[in-house]
Amino acid sequence: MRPELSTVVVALLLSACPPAKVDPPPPPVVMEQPDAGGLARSVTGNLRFKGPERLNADFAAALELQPADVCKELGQYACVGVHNLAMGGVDPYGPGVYEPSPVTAVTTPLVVERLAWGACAQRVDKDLVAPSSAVVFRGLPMTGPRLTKPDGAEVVAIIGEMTRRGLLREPYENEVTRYVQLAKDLDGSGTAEPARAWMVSLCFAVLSSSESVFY
Amino acid sequence: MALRTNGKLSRRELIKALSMATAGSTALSPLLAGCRQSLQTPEELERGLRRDALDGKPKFLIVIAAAGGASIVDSFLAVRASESGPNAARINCFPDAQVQAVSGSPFRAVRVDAPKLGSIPIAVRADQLAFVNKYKDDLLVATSVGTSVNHVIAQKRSLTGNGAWKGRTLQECVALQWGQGLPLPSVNMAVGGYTERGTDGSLPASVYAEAVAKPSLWPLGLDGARGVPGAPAKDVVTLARKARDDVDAASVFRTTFSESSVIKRWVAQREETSRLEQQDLITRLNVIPNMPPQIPLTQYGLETSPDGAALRAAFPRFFDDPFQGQAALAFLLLKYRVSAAVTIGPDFNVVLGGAAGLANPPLAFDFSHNDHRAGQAFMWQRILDTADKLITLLKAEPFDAATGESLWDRTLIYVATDFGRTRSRPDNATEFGSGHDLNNGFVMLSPMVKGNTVLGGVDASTGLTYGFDARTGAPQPGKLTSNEPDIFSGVLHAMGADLSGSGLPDASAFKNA
Repeated sequence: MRPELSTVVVALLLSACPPAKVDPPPPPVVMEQPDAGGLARSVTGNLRFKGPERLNADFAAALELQPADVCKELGQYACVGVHNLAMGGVDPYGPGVYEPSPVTAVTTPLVVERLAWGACAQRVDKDLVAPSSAVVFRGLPMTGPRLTKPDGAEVVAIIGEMTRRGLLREPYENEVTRYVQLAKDLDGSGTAEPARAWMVSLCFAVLSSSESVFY
Repeated sequence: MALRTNGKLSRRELIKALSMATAGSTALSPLLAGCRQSLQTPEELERGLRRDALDGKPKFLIVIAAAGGASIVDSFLAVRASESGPNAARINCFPDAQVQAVSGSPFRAVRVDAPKLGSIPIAVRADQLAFVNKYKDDLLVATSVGTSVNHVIAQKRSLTGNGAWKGRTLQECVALQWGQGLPLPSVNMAVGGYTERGTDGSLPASVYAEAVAKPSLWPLGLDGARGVPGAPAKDVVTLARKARDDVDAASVFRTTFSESSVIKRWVAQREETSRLEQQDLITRLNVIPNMPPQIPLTQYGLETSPDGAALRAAFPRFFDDPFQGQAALAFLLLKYRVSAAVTIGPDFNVVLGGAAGLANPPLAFDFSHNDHRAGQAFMWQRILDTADKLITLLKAEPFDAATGESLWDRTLIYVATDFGRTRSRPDNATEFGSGHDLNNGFVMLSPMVKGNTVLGGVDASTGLTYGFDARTGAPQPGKLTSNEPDIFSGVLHAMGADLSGSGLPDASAFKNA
C-alpha cells in the first residue's frame, strides 16, 4: 500500500468515527402567521385518511423509531394489526375485506390516539434516558421533573422541532402560543412529571392532529 | 263575552263564539298540520324513524353468518330416503335412521357419524336433536330461493333481501330503529359479503357497522390511552386533547378543508371519544383474563370484564377460535347496550384445536364441495353449539326487572347463509361433493318469531324446498320463485320494526302472535 493511500484510508476511517458529542438543540423557530382571511377553501375536499401502514410509517419516521416498535398492545400485538380495520386497512385473508373503508370508523380516533401515545411515550423516554443522543426532545433545561422555564426559547424550539418532524413545516404563532400554554397548564396541574407530560402531550397533539392523519 | 245567568250562551254570543272558533281553526290549521307533518314527513317515515309504539325499549338482532352455504336439507328439513321414492339413490337424502323426528314439532334433526371429513382424517360426530328439542319453541324455518350463487353477492343479498328496502341491510334497519343513542349501534365481525354496507346512503352514519376482525383484542381500541405503556394519566390526556383540538380548529389545514365531509365526520367522531371512554368498555368488553407473564393485564393498567369468567367458561377457545371470540363479544355488546345489531360468523380459514383437533374446516360450509354430508354436519354442529351457548347466556341475563324479561326475550338470531347446495349425488353415495344452489331455507331463533314453525316445505322427491305465503304462512307446493324480500321482511316483522314507507311485503307469518 502506498503511503499516500494509507493516509487517505486512515483519514476516511477517522472521519467516519467522530468523537461523541451532544446534539445541538433544535434550530430556532421561524413562526408564520396563518392568513385565515386569504385562505382558499378546497372545493372538492378530497381528503384521505392515511390508513394503518402509512400512519405507522409516518409516526416511526417522525420520531426515528422502528416501524415495528411504534405501538404494541399488551406489549406483543402490533397496534396496526389489532386495529387494522378501524384504521381503514384491508384484511383479505381474515374477514375478506378487500377494499379500505371509504370513511373513518367510530373507533378510528381512539386507535390513532393509541398509536400516537405509544410512539410518543417511547420517543420521550428514550430521549430523557440518554440526553446526549436525544433525537427530538433535546436541550430542554429542566429543574427536577419540571421544565425550568415553560415559556422559554428552548420550549419554543422543541415545538418547532416536533412540528417540522410531524407536519413537515414550521409552526404558526398561534400553535406555539397554545403549546406553551399547555406547558404552563401542565406545570400547574399537579402532575408528578410535568416536563415529561408536556413532551409526550406535545408529540401526541402534533401526531394525532387532522393535518397529520389525513392527506 | 259573558254568560247568561243560567250559564248558557245567548244566540248572539253563540254565533260569535263559533265564528271565532272557525277563524282560529282556519288560522291554526296549517300550523298544527305542520307540527304533525314535522313528526311524520314522508322522508322520516321512509327512513323508518317512527319508533315501535309498543314499549320503546330496545330489541337486538344477532346475525350468524353461516358462510359457504348452510343447507337446510342437512338440518331441520332433512329428507328420509323412504320418502324420496325412486329418486332416493340420486338426491341428497339420508338413511331413515339418521333423520330423527322431534316430538311435537315439524322439525327434524340429523345425526351423522362419519369416519373422516373429506380428506381430513378426523371423525365427524354430529347430532342436532338436543338443540332442536331445547329450542324448537323459539325456532322458525322459512324456505327460500335466492338470486345468486356467487358467495359475496349472495351473502349480501341474504342481508338486504336483494335490495328489498332501498338496499339497506337488516342490521342497518335494526340499528336505525333500536340503536340510536347506543355507542356503536351495529358491530360486524363476519366475512365477505356479510360485512358489506347497504346501499342506502341516506341513513345516519351511525347505523353503518363498525367492522371488527379480532374480537378479543378489539376492546383495547375503545380507549385512547389506557393500557398504552408510558401514556399519561387521564387529566393529562384531557389537557393534551384540548390543546390539540384548539390548534386543530384554527389550523390552515382545517380551514382549507372546512367543507370536507371527511373532516366534519372526523371532528364529530373525535368529540364522541370521551363519551365512549366514560363507559369503560375497554374493561367491560374485555374477555381476556389477567394471566402473567403471557398476558399481564394489570401491568398495563387493564382489567378483565366482570363477565369474563362466565364467558371464558362458555367459550373457552375465545382467543384462538374467532367464532367463539365473536360470540363472547356479541353477548357483551348486547348486555352493556353498546349495540343493537351484531354480526358474527365463522370465516373460510382453518382453525385448529377443539376436541376433534379441528374447529373450522377450510371454506366453512363451502367445504361441501369436497365432502358435502360430513362438511355440513360438522359446520351445522359448530353453528348450533355456539348459538346454544349464546342463547343460554342471553336467557340468564335480566333485561327488565319490571316485566321479568330476559335479554333473550328481546333478541332475534338470524342464521343468514349464502345459498343452498345442489341436491344430486352419485347413486347411494354417502361421500360426495355439492355445488351452489339457489334453493334453500333460513333459520331464525327468538321468542319473537312464531316458534315451532316451518314456513314452506320440502318436495321429498327432489329435495328442493317450496314456498309459502308470507302473510298467512300457507305452504305453496310447487312455488320455486325467489322470495328474498319475504325473508328480509320476516325478520323485521318478527321484531316488530316500523316498516312505514318501506314497501316491504306483509310477512306477518313470521311473527309470534
